[in-house]
Amino acid sequence: MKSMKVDMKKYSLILILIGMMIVCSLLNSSFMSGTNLMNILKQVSIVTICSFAQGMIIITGDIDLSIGYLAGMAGTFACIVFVATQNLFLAFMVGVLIGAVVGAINGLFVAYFKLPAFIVTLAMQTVCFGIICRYTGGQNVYKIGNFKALGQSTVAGLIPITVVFMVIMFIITHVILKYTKFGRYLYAIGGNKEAAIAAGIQVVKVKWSAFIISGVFAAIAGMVMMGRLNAGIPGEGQGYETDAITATVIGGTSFAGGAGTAFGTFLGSVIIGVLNNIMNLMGVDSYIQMITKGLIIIGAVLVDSLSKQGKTSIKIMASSSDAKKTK
Amino acid sequence: MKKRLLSVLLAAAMVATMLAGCSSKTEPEQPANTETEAPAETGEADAQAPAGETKDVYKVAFLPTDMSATFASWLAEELVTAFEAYDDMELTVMDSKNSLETQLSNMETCVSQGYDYVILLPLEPAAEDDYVAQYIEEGTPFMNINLDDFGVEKASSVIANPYDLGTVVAEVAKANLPDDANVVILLGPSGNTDSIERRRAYDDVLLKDSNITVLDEQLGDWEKSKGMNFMTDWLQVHEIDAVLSMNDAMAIGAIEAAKEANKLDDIQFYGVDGLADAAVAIADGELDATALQDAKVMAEEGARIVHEVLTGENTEGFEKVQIPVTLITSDNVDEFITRYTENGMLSE
Repeated sequence: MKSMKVDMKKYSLILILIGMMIVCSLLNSSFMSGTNLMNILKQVSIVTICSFAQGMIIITGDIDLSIGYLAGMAGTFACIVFVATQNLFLAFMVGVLIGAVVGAINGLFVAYFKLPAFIVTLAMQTVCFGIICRYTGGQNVYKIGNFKALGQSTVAGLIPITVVFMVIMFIITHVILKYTKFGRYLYAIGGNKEAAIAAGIQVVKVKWSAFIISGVFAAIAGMVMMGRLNAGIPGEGQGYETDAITATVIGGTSFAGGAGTAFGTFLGSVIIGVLNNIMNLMGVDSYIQMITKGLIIIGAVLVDSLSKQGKTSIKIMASSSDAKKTK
Repeated sequence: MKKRLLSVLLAAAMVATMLAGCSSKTEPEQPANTETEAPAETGEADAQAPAGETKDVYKVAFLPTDMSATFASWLAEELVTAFEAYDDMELTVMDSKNSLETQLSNMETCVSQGYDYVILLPLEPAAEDDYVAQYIEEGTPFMNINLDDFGVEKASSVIANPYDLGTVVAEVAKANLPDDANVVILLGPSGNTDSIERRRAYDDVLLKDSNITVLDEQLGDWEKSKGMNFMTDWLQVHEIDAVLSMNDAMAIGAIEAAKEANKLDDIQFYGVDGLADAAVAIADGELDATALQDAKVMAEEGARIVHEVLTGENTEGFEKVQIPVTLITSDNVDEFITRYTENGMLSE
């Protein structure tokens, strides 16, 4: 029954996206070009990777506000390691390790000591930013050489590496959520924590692991970001955590936990990307862009929520009539 | 909540003072990687003179906007270096973390803690003027450094005029661009004085009396990634001759986007700030021109004025100076590459 509901949500989002794309292609002839569509994917890829991380945490009913700053810190440190060693693999692994450590610290306080995730991860923002700024003296890291391959190269001369990273992270998230026991535990904990405990799920361990994964994802997003920017800029990660929340929630992830998919998150992120792109193509005034974006996001969530309510009420009626029959 | 915040700030201020005190006592030649010979030119003469006459050591506070911002942290570093030339002044840095509220409470803290002088790198000069005027009235002299709306008559002021920064770059653009060029413009955050003034200079020098078309103009919030995203989209729909960016980071973001689209050579890029990233981009032939507000000159001038006011050498109690802006193009970029490599802003 749950998977049925999620499917309905998925379709309503696809319809919203298709509708938007039709309108956009009418508004501007350049919109539907292959390059432009690829540009959109390229532009959303980093925030989408952050959204996959945020999505997993929101499914458990928590939130991770450290993602953006962690991305900035891990990405910049990876740049520093690369500049010092010229070893891309080593730099990447250091970045991943930083992500895992910060994720583990978040998890320690949230899962083990049961502090509110909102506060812990909010505090972790300033810790991450402080560490990296202290280390670099507030300066950015330039001349990062081949590190930019992580964000600017293409695979098979066609697909931008950032998009490849997004697809890989999508597959990983999708498999985790859909095909692993760990993924099902995430939904169970977010849906009903007491029941999850009663069912023998080790809530602390699962949550802790989720934060570690989130940290690693954020770090990877950060490294791709710095590669794309061709510099290590600690402050560039700011705000990605909230963009990630927006994409996840548009994508149908329940803020209360227990529901959400990787595909929905991806669609949510693309919807925002399409919106930004078409407004830039049309040269819409900055302030009007802000207003329009906010209103369309509310609209998309409303349409999605209404369509979901419709389906849900039918389901409930169906099941209650079933109940009568069995009496 | 407020109280707790205040006590944290106080504690931070105490620690900062202690650290500042310690480092100046125990390791005077330690100032990391900044040029130590710098302040000698302006400072040395005054340094020995009046120490101890009125007070042993004057406590001076510097309240930057945001120590994680490249320029603010560079200015702080240069101020620390500049103040080391004076053994009768002691500088404490209190970060405002890009929050006006924090900056205001830091001002309050400084005054109540008996600081002798406060150097303010203001977040919103217009919003802070009344407080500054009030504190000056009550006996604590203030200086606005780098940004000033000249709203307080008796506050000292050391700035590089943001309008001039725009002007020198716009003049290069005017010389290089055809009269019917198509340009796009990247602005700083909405309402930001620097962005508005630089943009106004572009209007007056370049855009007003020409046939140049502004294809689009967007708020890039000073961010490299936003400059990059706008440019990626613009390249889909426009034939662009030049990108006029109100800072370097956004211009360099646009350069990255143009590189990806293989259009780098057809487009000119203009920024403002003149820090390490821009110097590299100019040396690489990607950025065409930028203008520098020199934090070193600013810090030296600032320290001089503070000292003159505190020792009574300046009888008026304030002085307003504008430091010259420096245009950086491929002609003189080597000088800056050397300088930024020496002061550690650029590795290699």
